[in-house]
Amino acid sequence: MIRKIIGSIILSIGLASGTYAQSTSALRINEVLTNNVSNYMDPFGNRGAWIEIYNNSAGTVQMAGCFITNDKNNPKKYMISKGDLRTQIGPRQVVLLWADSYPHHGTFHTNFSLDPDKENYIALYDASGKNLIDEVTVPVLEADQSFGAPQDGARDLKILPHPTPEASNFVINNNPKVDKFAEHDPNGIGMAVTAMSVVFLALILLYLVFRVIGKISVRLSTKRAMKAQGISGKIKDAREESEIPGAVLAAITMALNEHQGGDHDYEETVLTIHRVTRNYSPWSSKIYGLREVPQIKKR
Amino acid sequence: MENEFIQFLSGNIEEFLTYTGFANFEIGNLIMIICGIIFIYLAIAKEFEPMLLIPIGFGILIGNIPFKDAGLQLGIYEQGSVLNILYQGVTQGWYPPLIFLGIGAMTDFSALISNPKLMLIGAAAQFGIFGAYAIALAMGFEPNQAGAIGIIGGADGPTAIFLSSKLAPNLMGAIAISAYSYMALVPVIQPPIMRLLTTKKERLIRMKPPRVVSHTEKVIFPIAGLLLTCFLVPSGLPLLGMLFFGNLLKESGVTRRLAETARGPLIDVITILLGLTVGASTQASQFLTANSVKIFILGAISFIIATAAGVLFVKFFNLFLKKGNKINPLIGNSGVSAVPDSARISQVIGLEYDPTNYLLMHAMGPNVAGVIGSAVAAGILLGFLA
Repeated sequence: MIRKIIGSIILSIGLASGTYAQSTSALRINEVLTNNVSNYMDPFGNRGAWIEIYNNSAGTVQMAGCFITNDKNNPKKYMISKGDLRTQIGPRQVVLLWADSYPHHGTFHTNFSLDPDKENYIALYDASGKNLIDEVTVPVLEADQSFGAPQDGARDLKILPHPTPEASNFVINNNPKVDKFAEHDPNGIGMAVTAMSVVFLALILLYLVFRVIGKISVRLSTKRAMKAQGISGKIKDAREESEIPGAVLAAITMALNEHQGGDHDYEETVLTIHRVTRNYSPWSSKIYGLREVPQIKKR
Repeated sequence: MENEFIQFLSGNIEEFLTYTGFANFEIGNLIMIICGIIFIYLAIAKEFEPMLLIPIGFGILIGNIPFKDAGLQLGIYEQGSVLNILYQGVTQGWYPPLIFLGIGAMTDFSALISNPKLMLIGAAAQFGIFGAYAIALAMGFEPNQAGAIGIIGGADGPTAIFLSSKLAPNLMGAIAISAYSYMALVPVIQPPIMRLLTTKKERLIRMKPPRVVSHTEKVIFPIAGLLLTCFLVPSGLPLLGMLFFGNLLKESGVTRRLAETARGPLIDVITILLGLTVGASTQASQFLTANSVKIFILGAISFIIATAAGVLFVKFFNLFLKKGNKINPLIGNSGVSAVPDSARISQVIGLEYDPTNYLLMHAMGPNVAGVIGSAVAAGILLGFLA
């Protein structure tokens, strides 16, 4: 029992840490600007270097507790405050950190700054300060140039002539998938063939699986019936033996009924035949659950 | 003093009159109100899908009461209004999976499990979706819009709403109304096609009674069904996941209360909200467009193609089956979902030609396979075009 409890606790901790790691692991250093001359201004009116963090997942990520640093030997240089709700980054959204050495200006102002005249190393660590989430080395940039991912979340960062702080690096105003279909499959034949193949494949797979399962099931139930009836030999013979025509069964039932005193002249109950307007199948009572087909009454 | 008071009163009354429906009335509202009344009439007098047409029909009336746009948060398209909040289940796409949960909890897949080859008919009928997709492209719709319109051919209202909310939200009202209208008209659309494409000899084919399906098989079905279909088409997960989950609740035998809730009160509540809000979303200003007319035409075409594809596929399939194992092509129409109406049509038409040939249980197989097939098709379209 104790083992089970310990096992469950370990499993829960493992799952919890795994989930956490998985969520913060979606963060990316998306864009960095080190030489801010006439670019974005912070709410205090200062133009400092900035680092844009992007959530490369479809879920919200909490970055509070994570560490950001410009020092390879000090991963825990600046911890992103845990008390600020704005540290939750929505799916495919960004937040901006000001690398201006003014941590007293708030959560998004780091305690280090970036040197515009040198290469700058920037790294993002998870809440343990041990697991590296993302790192970049920013080359020396000209004034108001940024170094970032041409497609948000991508790893191949490049110099971007037009910085986009707190916004997507790549503006999408169309759906590339739709454009692709419009260009390559204007009459829909490609879509029809591909999609129908997948639909058939899915249902053929189900068919094959249930064909096998059905056969196994029939075999097992026949064996069980054979065992119950004390029949030995092959299943095929047993099936032939157990397949009694309906007329024979009716005759046996009648004989049993008579044997049990059912052969009297006067019946205790009266049976009447009531005509049902709906068509009835003896092996299916589902018809009663259905509405009648609307019919035009001819007068 | 008295004059001032009278002026105040008359000013108030004038102001009030500008708020009435009469002052804001447009001819489009009248057309839509007549449509709503026709829906209600068909549901009550002709019993055409009353569970759907009454909420939708009444929703159309609600959505087309004209009012002054004065920021009173009344209309379904005004953010924060009661109707708008209820409409979120449609626009965000969470009503349809809940409906699928209920469908799963009320569907008996025995017919399909006992004769799994009937699943292929459910696949063939999905040609309706892609036939309509191709025609919609030819009519000038964008691929994502064509996909949303094509799904009408799946004859599955929740699937149509789910997919259109993702691919073409602006067309959702017309697509939903079209899908439900044609589902209600299944008894009118399908029989002529079935008669046209079959011979008298084919209509008399008797099929083997389905074998008894064990409890284990019924339990395995939703689990294997989920794993096989969703590993292949993960984008079908919201619909297929809920469908198979509902079915497991039913078949497990140990969650009777949950299954009853899913197929009873839950699906009823969602059906009411879904029908009413879809109906209310057909405000004349949004709905009465040339695109809506085109969508109605395409909806009819997709139903016809789906029915024909199902029937013809059975005829083709019969070429490869032994004499005693042939399938009656009259069950081909039930490959379009529209559960259980299209299966009922197979039964009714079958009985017309042989009063002792009961096709209902056989038709239920492709019918429920059609539900799976249309959800898979929706997943594919979502994956390709979203």
